[in-house]
Amino acid sequence: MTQWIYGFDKLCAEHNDIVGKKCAHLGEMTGAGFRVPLGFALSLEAYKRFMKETGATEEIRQYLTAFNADPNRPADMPKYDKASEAIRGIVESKEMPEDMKDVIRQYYDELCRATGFSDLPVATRSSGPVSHPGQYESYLYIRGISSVIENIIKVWSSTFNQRSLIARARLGLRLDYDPVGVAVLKMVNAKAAGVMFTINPVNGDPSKIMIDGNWGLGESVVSGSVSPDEWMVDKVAVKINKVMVSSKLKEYVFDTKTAKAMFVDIPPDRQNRLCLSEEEVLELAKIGKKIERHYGIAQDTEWAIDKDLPFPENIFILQCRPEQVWSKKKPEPIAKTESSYIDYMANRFIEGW
Amino acid sequence: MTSEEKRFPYPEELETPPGTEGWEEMYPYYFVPHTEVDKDDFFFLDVVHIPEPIPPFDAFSPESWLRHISQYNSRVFMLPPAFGLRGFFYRGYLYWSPKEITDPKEIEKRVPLFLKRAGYYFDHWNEIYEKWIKKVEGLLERTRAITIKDLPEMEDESVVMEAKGLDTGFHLQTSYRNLLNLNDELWQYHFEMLNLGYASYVLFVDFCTKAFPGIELPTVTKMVSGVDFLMYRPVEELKRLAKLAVEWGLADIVKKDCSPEEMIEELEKSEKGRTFSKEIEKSKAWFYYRTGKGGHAYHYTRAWIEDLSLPFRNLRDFIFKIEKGVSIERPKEKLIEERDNITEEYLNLLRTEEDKKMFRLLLDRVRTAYIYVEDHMWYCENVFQTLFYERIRKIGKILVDQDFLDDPEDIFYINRFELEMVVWDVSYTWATGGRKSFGQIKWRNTVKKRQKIMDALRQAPPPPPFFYKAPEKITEPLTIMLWGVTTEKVEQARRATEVKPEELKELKGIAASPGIEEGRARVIRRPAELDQVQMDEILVCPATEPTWASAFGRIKAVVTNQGGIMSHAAIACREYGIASVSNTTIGTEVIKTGDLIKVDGDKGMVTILERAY
Repeated sequence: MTQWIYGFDKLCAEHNDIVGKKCAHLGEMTGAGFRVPLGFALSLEAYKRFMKETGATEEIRQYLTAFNADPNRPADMPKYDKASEAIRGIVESKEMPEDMKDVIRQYYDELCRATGFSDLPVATRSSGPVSHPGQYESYLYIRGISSVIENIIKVWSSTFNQRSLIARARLGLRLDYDPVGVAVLKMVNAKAAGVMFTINPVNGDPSKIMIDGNWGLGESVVSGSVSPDEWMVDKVAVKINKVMVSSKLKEYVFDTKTAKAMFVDIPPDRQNRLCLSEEEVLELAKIGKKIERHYGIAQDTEWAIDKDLPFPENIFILQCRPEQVWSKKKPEPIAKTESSYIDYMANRFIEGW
Repeated sequence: MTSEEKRFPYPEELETPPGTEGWEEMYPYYFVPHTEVDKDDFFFLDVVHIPEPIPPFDAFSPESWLRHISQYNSRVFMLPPAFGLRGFFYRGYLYWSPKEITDPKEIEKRVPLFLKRAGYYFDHWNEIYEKWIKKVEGLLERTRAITIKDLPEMEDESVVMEAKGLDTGFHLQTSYRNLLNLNDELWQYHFEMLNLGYASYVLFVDFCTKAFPGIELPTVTKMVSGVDFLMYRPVEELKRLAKLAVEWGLADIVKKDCSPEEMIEELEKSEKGRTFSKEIEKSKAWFYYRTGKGGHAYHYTRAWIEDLSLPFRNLRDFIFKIEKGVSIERPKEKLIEERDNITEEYLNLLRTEEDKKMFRLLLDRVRTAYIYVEDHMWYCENVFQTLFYERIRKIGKILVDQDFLDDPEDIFYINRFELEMVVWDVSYTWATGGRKSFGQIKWRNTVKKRQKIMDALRQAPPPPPFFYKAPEKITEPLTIMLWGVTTEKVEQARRATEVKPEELKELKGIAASPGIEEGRARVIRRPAELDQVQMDEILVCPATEPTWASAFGRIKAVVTNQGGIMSHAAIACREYGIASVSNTTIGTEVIKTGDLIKVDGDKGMVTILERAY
């Protein structure tokens, strides 16, 4: 039988097609020794087994035989809404096969043991083999094995949400089947979080690292809903060149009752205080340097500082991907022509400074 | 604003500070401002090399710089866009005027010549440098061979018995002329490789700032710099002696706060002490190290060899450190390792093979050239200048013997052309068997008058940073690199008259040496005031010379009005690990002694946190 569940430590970038991009990257970073949240991955095979063994796929196919809609016709949108609701109802009504449950329980228990928490809060995140940013759904702050299983199924079912159905219909892909991986990973109880570029994104200076951060979850920085604190770090010397403290008025924090991230006011005493200490900034930069070296190209990463752990174990990289702007430009050499030293000198003298 | 108004003052528009009248006559006519020839050029003040008014004799040194640097740009290496440098003294301060060639046709004509000529030097750099060392060592030998003999009451019998046919007066005249010739020859060599050395540095900086727009200049210099320069040797010799003194149980004798003579006398009393004395003698070859107060140009900047209390003071400090268990070794391997790591990292950040190749090439060339940039100082500014001034002082003594002056040091109030006349007069007067000369009255009066002028010049308010034409843009790379004179700075200075200095809270300069320090300011306008600097103060001064390094053990940070990233002081600060912001233009005007200031040597900012009153 094909393997359908993996610890992150057993995965690397090459497993992209087996477990999806996010899981493969988390595995790659785990293997390379970066501090990413502990967790495990359900492969595409897990989705296939669940959908097949519970008969969900068959039921969805039957439902879709009568479905007829044009994804480019605004008037047909309610049809997709209705289909999504029906199909998700089918998926979420299925009970996971007992043997799968048992294996997932073992992995979750192991995670709880490793972190020293019973009923460790985790996130269940979708992990498609190709990027569909923002299309599928992730669920945060999930506690206890039955919730974990319920939310894994919810991630699978999110491949049938309205926007995913429409996206597949537009691309002419089949609507009844779209396997994704699921990452189950420890929630970072973020004191502060944000993004880090291992390049100066403004002028492309590759000898700088730029870090933006705010209190709470990284969402406020990623979405641009607050002006974050900003650090420019010298990548070679690992030394802070410039700090810009911002008035940070709001942050995302977890509401454990609703299990949702809430956008709340930051108390005045924290608004104008830097959300990272100098040692945290430098440690982050060191990690950024290593990640860039590992992938061989400037990276755009998301990070979080866990409030429950001591420095430096509190620094987590949640995600990384190649920097998109400067790294994609074809690099123009400064020394444009193949020239000798003295030719180059003469040219520079003539061009002027 | 019309272009007519965009200019700096003309000298005749400025008030003459009381007592300084007649300063122009101390210097050669070609080296004082003349508006009719200078008004279309831009002149900037150089307090990096000449921090205080230059005495008439000492003027030979800066004059020689400008004279002998120029032809290498304009007529030897045919630098495509640059003329030589004109300059003048205004109230004893030195001003330089760079000028570019703007005619594209002329530039085009010069390019192939430059490629061939400068290319040859770069391609054969080490070989040429070896040859250079031989030439200069030969020159130093010839300088040592010049003896200044006292004029005797009666010529030695040998003049007759060997039928020499030449007298001691003639010998004096010849010796003086030879000294002048040797000086000119030396400064020719001095710049033979220096312009190209600086150019290779500028080229590397230029490349780095393009590849890494936010790179800081101290980082660039770190990649270029070596660790084994000759200029470190004198201090290394003292460390060697300090270790020996401790090892041989002589620390208590050497540490004693006494005169050098008393110390040697004490050492001579024991077997070990006598051996140690011999070790000191061995080290003396490295004592031609001019570290007194002032700059290299000044006659009163004394060498260790002339005043042993200078090195012995440092020797004592090293012994104290050893006894306290503080390491006095320069961590050479660590410095090299650090340099190589940094270099490797920057190299790996470059994204194209072309750039990697060019980076390696530029770095390779500048590292080679940089050894010269540092080491020439030992031969020229230290050993030669010591030998030269030593001989001029002997002539000064003869002038006293022959009743022309009251004090041998007064000779420095006579410029070198006048001195040729005086030497002639002296040997003539001596030849007459001691009959009277009007020179004996004239030069005493001149010296007296000039002493007063020099005092008044030193007390006068600082001279303006610029004269004559305001340039549209400054592009000459050496002006930017060595003095930090940039378009922005010039424009800022032009507008600065509109702001009251005491209202300024922040000064922008150049990040010359990294580190952030807070402390009380000590404003020093003249090298002679350096003694006032207290432990842990921040030195604020017009510019520093490497000779000021003696104070670096006491201070936390340095702020200067002038000085580029390549100024020797900036290099010394980095070596000593002292934070420094240079090129604040008006630092000594804005900051007062006692002010609490913050020096950010990473960003090049100085902040006044609290006024002294």
